[in-house]
Amino acid sequence: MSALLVDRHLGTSRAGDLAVTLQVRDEQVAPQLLADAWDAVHDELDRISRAFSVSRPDSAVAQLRAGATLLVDDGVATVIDRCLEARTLTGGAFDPWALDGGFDPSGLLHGWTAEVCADVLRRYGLRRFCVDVSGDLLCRGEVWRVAVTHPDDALRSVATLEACDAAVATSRWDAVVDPRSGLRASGARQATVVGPDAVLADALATALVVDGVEGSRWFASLPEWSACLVDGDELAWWGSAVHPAG
Amino acid sequence: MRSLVLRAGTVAGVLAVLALPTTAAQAEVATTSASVPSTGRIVSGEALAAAIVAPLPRTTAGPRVERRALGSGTDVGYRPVAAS
Repeated sequence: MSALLVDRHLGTSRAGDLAVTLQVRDEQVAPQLLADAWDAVHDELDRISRAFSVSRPDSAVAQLRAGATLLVDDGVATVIDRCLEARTLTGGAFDPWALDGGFDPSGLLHGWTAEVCADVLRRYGLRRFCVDVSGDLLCRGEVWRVAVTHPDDALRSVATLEACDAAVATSRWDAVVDPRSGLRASGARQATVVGPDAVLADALATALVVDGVEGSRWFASLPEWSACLVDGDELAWWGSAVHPAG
Repeated sequence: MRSLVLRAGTVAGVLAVLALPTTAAQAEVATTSASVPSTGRIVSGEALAAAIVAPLPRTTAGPRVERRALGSGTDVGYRPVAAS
């Protein structure tokens, strides 16, 4: 969903529905350290997939959906808290409780995964990198320029974003259900947000597709955030990180 | 309603309890050791489902929104690799 301008590609890893690509710009990093960091990232992906997958009966989330009471780890507990936070902030436009089958945190799991992977890389001493989880980005250490692709042409850009120690998340209408109506979201064709928190970025992008430009009011309490939306044949944006193309 | 949410751990950072309707009871559980903090939280699927009734806040005006015609955009400067 987003085009990333990169110069070193560490690799792509998949676990369940998660696909993670790492770009590292740190210099003079031992190959073995990169390999170890990569293995650690993959271990975390497996852990996240095991904990959050709604299709795995043994996952914590699947058991909670089935009504079980269980001791969950800090990661699951934090994700539940973040879901509540995002639901409250967006006035219910992001609502993991409104989905068929019960609580489903998938709407912010890309962001959560990006934060977890970034923590792993930092533990290995890496400072300049970008984590890409299925198109949602977490950029660290320097300014990363990110192109927001045109909803009708992936080779065209409608805006450029500058992300410095920031997250970038994009959602599109065809992948989002309006939690209030149960129908396909219709607030915007595409929404991209930039801010300091990958988890919230993921949720806000989803919620903006539901509520469209009306969702800008949520950002009254988020002055450090920027966003751009494709609303019909119009581009709408706010915040200093967004630079419309052309 | 029976006790729905318990909390575990000795570190303040893990003591935040899932925000639930006021009817959801909370209780401490024994920690494993004073020197080795246990982490995590006991969560009930029933309580989790009940979180849907939490009230929503009123919202205020947001930032100034700029607009312009979408147009066709500009070239992003890359081409996809051909599928094999």
